Amino acid sequence: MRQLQSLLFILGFFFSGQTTASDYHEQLLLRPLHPSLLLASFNFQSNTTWASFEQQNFRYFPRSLGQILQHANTRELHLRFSLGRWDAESWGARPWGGAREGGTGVELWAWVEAETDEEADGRWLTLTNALSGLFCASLNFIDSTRTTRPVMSFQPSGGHNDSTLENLHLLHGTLPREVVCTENLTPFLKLLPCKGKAGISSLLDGHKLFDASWQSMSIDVRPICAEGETECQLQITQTIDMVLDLQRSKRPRDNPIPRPVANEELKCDTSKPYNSHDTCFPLDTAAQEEGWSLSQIFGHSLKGSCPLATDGADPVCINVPHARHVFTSAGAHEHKDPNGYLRCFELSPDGEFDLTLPDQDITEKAPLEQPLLYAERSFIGYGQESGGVQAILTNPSPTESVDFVYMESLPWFMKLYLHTLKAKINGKDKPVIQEMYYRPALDRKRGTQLEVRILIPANSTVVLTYDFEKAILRYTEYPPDANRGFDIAPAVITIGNVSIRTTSLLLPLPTPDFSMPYNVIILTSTVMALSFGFVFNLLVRRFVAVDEADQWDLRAVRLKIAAAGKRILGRFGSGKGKVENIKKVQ
Amino acid sequence: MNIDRRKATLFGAAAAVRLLLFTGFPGLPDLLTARVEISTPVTSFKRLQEGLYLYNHNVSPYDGGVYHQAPLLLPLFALLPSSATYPAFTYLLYIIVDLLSANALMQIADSGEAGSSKLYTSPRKDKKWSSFAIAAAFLFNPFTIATCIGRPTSVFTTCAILHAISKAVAGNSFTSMFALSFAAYLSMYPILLFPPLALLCFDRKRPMKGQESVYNFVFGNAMAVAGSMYSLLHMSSLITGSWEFLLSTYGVQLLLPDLTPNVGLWWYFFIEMFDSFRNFFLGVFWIHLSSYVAGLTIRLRRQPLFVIVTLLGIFAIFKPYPSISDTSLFLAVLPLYRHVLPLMRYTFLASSTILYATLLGPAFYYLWIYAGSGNANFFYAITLVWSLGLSVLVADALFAVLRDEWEVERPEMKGKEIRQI
Amino acid sequence: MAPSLPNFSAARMRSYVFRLPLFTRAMILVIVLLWIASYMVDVKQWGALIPKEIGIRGDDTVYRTNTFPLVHAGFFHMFMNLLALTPLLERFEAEYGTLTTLALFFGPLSTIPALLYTFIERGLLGMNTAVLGARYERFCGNIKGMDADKEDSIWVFTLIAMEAVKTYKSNPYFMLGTTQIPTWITPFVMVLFVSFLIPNTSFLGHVCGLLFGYGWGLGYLKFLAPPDWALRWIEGKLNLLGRLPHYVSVDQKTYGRYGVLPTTNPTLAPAGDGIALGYMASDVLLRRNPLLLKLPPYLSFLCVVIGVAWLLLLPLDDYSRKTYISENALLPGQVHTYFAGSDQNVFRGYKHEINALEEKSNIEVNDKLEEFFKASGLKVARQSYEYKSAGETYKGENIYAILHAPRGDATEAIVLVGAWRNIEGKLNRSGVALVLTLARYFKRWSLWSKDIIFLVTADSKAGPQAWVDAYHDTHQTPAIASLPLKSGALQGAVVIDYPFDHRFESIHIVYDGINGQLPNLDLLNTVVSIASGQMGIGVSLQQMWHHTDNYKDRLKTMLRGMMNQGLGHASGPHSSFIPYHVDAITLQPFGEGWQDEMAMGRVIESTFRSLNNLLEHLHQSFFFYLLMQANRFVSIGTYLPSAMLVAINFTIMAIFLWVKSGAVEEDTTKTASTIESGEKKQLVLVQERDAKALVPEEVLTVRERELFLPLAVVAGSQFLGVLPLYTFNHLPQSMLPSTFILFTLLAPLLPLLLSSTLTTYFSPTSQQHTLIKTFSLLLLGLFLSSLATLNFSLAFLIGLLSSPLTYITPLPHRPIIKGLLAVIMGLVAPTTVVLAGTWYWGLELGEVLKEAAFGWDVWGMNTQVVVWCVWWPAWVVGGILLFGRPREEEEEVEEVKS
Repeated sequence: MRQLQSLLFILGFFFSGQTTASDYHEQLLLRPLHPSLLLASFNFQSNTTWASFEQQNFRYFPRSLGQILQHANTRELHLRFSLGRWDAESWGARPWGGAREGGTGVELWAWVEAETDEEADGRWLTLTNALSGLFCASLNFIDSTRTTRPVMSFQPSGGHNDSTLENLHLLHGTLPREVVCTENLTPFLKLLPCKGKAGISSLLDGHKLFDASWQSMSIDVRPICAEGETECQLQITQTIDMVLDLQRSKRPRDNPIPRPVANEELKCDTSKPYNSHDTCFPLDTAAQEEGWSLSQIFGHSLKGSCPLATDGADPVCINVPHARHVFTSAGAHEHKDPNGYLRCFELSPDGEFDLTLPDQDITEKAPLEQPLLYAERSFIGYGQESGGVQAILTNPSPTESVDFVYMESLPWFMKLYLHTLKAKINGKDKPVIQEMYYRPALDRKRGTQLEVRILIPANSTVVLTYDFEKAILRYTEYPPDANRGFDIAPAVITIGNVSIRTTSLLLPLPTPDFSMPYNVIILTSTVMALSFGFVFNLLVRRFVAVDEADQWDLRAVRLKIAAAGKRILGRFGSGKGKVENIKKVQ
Repeated sequence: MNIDRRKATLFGAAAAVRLLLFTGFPGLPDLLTARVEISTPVTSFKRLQEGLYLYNHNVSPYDGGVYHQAPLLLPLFALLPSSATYPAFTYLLYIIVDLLSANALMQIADSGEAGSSKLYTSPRKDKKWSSFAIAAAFLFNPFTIATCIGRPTSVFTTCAILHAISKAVAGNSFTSMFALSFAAYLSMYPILLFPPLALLCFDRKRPMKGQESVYNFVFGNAMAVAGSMYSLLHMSSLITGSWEFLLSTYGVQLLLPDLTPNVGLWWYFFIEMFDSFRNFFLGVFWIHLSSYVAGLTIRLRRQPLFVIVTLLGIFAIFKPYPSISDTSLFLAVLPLYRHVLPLMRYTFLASSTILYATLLGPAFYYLWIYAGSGNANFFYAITLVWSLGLSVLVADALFAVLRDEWEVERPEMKGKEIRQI
Repeated sequence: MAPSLPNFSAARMRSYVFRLPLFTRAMILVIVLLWIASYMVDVKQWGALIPKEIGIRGDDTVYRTNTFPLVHAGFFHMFMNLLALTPLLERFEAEYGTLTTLALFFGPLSTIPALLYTFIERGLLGMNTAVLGARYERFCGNIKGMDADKEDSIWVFTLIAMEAVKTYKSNPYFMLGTTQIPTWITPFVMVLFVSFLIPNTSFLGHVCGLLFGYGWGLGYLKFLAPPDWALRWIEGKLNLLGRLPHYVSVDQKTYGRYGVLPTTNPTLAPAGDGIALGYMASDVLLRRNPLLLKLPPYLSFLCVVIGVAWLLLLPLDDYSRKTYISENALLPGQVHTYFAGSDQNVFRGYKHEINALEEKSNIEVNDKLEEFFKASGLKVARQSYEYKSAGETYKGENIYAILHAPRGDATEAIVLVGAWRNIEGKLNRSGVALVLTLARYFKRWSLWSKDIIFLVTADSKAGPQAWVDAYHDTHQTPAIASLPLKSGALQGAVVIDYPFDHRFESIHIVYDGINGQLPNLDLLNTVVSIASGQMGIGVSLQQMWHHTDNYKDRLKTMLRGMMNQGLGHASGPHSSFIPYHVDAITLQPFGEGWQDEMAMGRVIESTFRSLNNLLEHLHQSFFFYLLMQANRFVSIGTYLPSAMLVAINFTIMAIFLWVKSGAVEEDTTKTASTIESGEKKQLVLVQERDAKALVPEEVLTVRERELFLPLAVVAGSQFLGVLPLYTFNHLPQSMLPSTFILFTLLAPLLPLLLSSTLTTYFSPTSQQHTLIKTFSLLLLGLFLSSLATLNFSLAFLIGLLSSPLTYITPLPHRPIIKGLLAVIMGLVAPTTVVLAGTWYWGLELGEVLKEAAFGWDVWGMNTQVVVWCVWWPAWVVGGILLFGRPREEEEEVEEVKS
């Protein structure tokens, strides 16, 4: 699998290296995963010269995006929409080494050219707002509390000339709560030259994409200045990776309910003594490769190749052992990679293309590439007062140690106690933290940013824990579903150019009673008024004995009552009643 | 001599109890540190640790939302071995601070200022508790002990205030003023004690040549406070390298950005307050808090010490971030006026209310935060009751003292039912 | 002299009742009759005051303006109304004469406020809220589920207002804090109090009543009364005086005989802080009024009685409510369930496997289960645990599998638990098989928004606790291993306990958590409505296998629920989840019926679909409730007062004793000169006029109280409680029963010993004895009332059992009564109660104690703490008092002088 990844990079660089004014390249790589899953990575890439970009002369490069970038002085842009969770234990390393994926929700980071931080913030604001309009995502909610300026985790992937390099500002923002869905896919496809009408992009379809167990859409725009060339190029790479559950995807769209199969279709373990017509021990189907075909998985077959993809690379590749039967529709040529598991198909420009893998008993599997690091993050403790975060980082490699940067960007209401940050390696306290960058949160102004460089020796586990306190917010600062909790962005782990993201977390905060404002104002004020009254009554009024006070006081009240009586009786108008009443009162 | 032995045994016992609690129940200190009734955002020991950590790693602790305490505490605790590895030193420090407070309290009690000040002598003044008993009441008050175990920095304020008073009754005004400004420097609100304290100093100062007027005297003291405040603040700005700590320490007390629950009235009020009125009510609350000073000082001119006592009680209720350590301070100085206790009418009521609140508070907090079966109103209601109980106690003490004064004017009124007009 | 309310001796009460005047009796009779009638016909409809019904054009519904005060919502409502109304009415009648009263009460006195009310309500506010007779007050604080019927009390408030005005004339003020409150304010305060604390009471109606009352009291409305000559003429003609018994003639009218307001009757004082506030007002009165000084003992007794009566009333329809779903997201039973067909074959297959594993060791079992879960494509992990308690070790290994939500992100999770052995230790054969089958079935769905965790614990007591602790990382390593695999925040847990393999009739739901905490009522409602509504399976609670919806069964269910809650032990694997704010229940199929396992599976499926819908953590519905039956409950607002009343009886006594300990006895007056004058003056006053007797001046000469010894005694006995607590939680199981028996036998000697030592060394005065009792009762009341909010049942039970302590006093000269009381004390001793309980439920004492120790060590159960550190100390102090021998009076007098 590593060679596959390298191959992907080679492909990428090969085309980026080309000096043609502008070109376009697309490729779909299919890779069966255990158990009965399929990873499909779509890759679309096009270059344009810097000059033509400057002159707003767009060919393959999407104009809408290009203008935004120019307007916001953004030199390099990375935008991610992700959903679900990559199961590294059983699926191995991530596609593109995790370089083309983000944490759950939306993640955006960009290098903005600006003189000062304030200017950079302004342009960042412009950028997020424009993008949120373009991609129908609430990117405009990436405000100062959600923006960080990572120091160690991200490096510019493009070649920038030194003049621009020093006043480039890296800004990074995440929206863990954003739910990615079709409204984000449609504008994404619009940016493609073939607009999802032809070529591999014709397979993309919201129903399938968002039923995937894991999926990630990415857009990267970066300049490339190959050495020895005066003219730089601007490269845009769009990728979509998804992990499809074969059984789920194969269900017809009109009847997606997993009804129990008929008794006769049930695969039973007949070796069991009790096996009978009404008793069945389900057979473990792990040994058997499940059959599937493109049209089954994606709902329809591939509509020819995209005519704009002029680079003669094979648009569809699949990564299975050569022993596996693969049938294609007519007019497609298969190129096998002699050593390895890759085989690619050249498509006829017109005419449907379909790919079919039948059921097959085959033990040989394409090997999984072991990830460099397993990362798992979870909350510890309970109650809504305080808690802790525990990140378990395991280096599976028996030989080489891993040096990586662990980055957390937390909301301000999660008050991190840095002095409780502890890293235990295999249960023992050892100094594994090499370097740390920490920017504490400011209430309602900015979030916490923590970057830790850690070195894990071979074949060992580091457990990173820290405590935090849950702030209680003003009642206007809670979302409508306050009792669900707040989503905490995934931690980003960077190992060279490989990056891993943990799952996001759900942080429940203590909630006030949202129906109380008036009662609270009334009751609190009452208590204050009472004690104020107590004290100042004592201070301003003088003491007298009861008997002295009585006379004066009672008479005063009587007079009051009499006056009131007059007024009332004025309304009643029975003069006689009035006189005797006043008598009676006195 | 005999007194000294008793005092030694008392202090020894108090220290022993605390040490026992510290060492015997290792989980206890951290447990109590986490209690909202004991540590507030501006006094919490855990936050202090955080600030210390940042300070030691050259991150400005004031460029963050966690540490809101005075800068000078940082070098002080930086000198101590870290409490994570050698907690014993921290324990000892806090125990010593408690004992110092108790010592100051004894000096105040011995001065007899409570019974008979320069301008007024109570007819009941012989009926008083020995300074020993008062110190014992302070040292073995569960609130004090819990505070000591919980290690909030408010104990330093307590100590400073008590020393300010004790120096004042001893008559050396400058030390007293310095202690006061140190207390004010630590947690701001004690500055409100200046007027009565200055008067106390004035009353107690030794008759010197040439009687100087009150105004000059008070002005001089004000200068002293201002001077020492300035030097302290300047020192801290030198330590932290900037003046940003002002906003993060005193600003927090003024603007209440951190709404962590406590026994006071502010937090829930400002959680539920509408944004447009927040600043207005912040102003109102502060004015309310400071409004008591003038009135009490003028009306009780003859007993400045009692003005301080009452103010301490009022602070314990209406501070932005009160905790039971403030209550323990009030309960420490209240017994000085034991001779007027018989005149109080609601002692039992108030104390049982406070007891109820003390028990129900943690229960309701648990229901809200951990069990999730109650909501915030539970704990809020208890803070209301708590405040009400305390204010009844304060007002009743005030009544008793005023009545005591009044009976001097009209001795025949002893034991008569009275009324105010 | 005329009977006055505060004086509660039985004889007086009798005479008071017998001498009730005519109209009052008539009213009482009518009200009672109408209440009885209301069970047959809908009297409310007939009599209620509904503004719409009263046409301005004279149609026939105008009678409502006269009848509405007589109609009531239920027995308790009526009872309290009578309590409130009778004395007032009696006074009024005695004062104005029967005829006048009759005329007034069916004329202006109810009509005018009614019309006033109708006019304002309809004319100005345009609302239409029905108003019924008098109301009873109920204090709920701001607790969820606060409710009160729609009621009003025009008469009561009218009369109160009159009384207030009258009282105002006699004594115009009482002191609150340092401010003087004019007494005529009190009705207003009450109205405000009522309308703030009890929603839905018609504030307007009260005010109308008040206005009229004030008007009358001030005499502006006297013109409404029929002229005296007319009345005399009628009387004369009909010779009513001769014919009617208890008739009050116009001529017997007397003015101003009464000073005291019955409205400060503290039975109405609310719980908690309410009591404190209530007493700020009445504290002064208490101190001043010699009559009121006699009241509290009866009062506190009344509290207990009402508390119990209250509890017994709860099962009635008027006080319990039908359950309902508050959380809209749940949508129970709205989904079609597909768990059937060939999955049943799979289920049978799994069951065969489980049966085969019956005798295997825990590890072997888990190896197999792991295989099964893996085959269904789930992630599997294990956790081993080992607990030590009462000299025994409980060890085992949990296994669990996580089904990742297809598009989810491990933020939330639901748990499906099947303990390998259920709470009785039987093999949970169908349960575990069902878990396996459901795991395989759920994997096929793509709609899960939360992870689903399938947990198979080794047993039902220690296993779940170990797992949940480890999940929240509060466990003690290495005895309990950490979890290698985790998911998000737990939103709910459902436990299947299905130990037999035949078909079942209906489902038994177990819901009690540890320390009496309960899951959110919505979870229970969901399961109930799914089972009974969607699947047509009956549901039962608290082992009431057959629940015919009648009072007896409801009460039984409730009491069993309270017993379980009070004991606070784990009643199933679900109990361990609840303290972590994870709502959980156990489902146990039972009986012989035609429901098969798949039906059970469908119930689970539907429940999980509902939980899957949840957007927020369950928070809407009640957490404090008593269930009468699967679809009937009482919310805390309704039941809390009963426990609070029981707890308050101690507080009342404490306050009373405090006041008493401060008051000066008569015989001291001869010697204590300072007090003498005051005493005399007071006597004089009493002879003078009743009204003045309320304002004696002796407020400030309270006797000095020696507090130190009482405080020491009470504190000491509190600390004494730690001893048995430690002993019974740390002894090995073998020694437990014998030790306990020994303790039970020795315990009664302890108070005797202590009191004798006290008398010999300190010889406490009677005042000190009183103070000892004061503090002990105060503490008890404190603890119980705060416990009532945490564990209602426990607080109620202990409060009830220790209520005799309220009346224990040193009886040096009455050996017989003393012995009698000693026997009673022996009966209500905690130890005796425990023994009796074990005997009654036919349990093994050793088992009970072992369970208790286990609960303490593993579950963090704190029932023992309450028993040994709250109840037992109070009992010990009670004993000390009982055997106490107070010092003789003379010495005491000396002290008073000094």
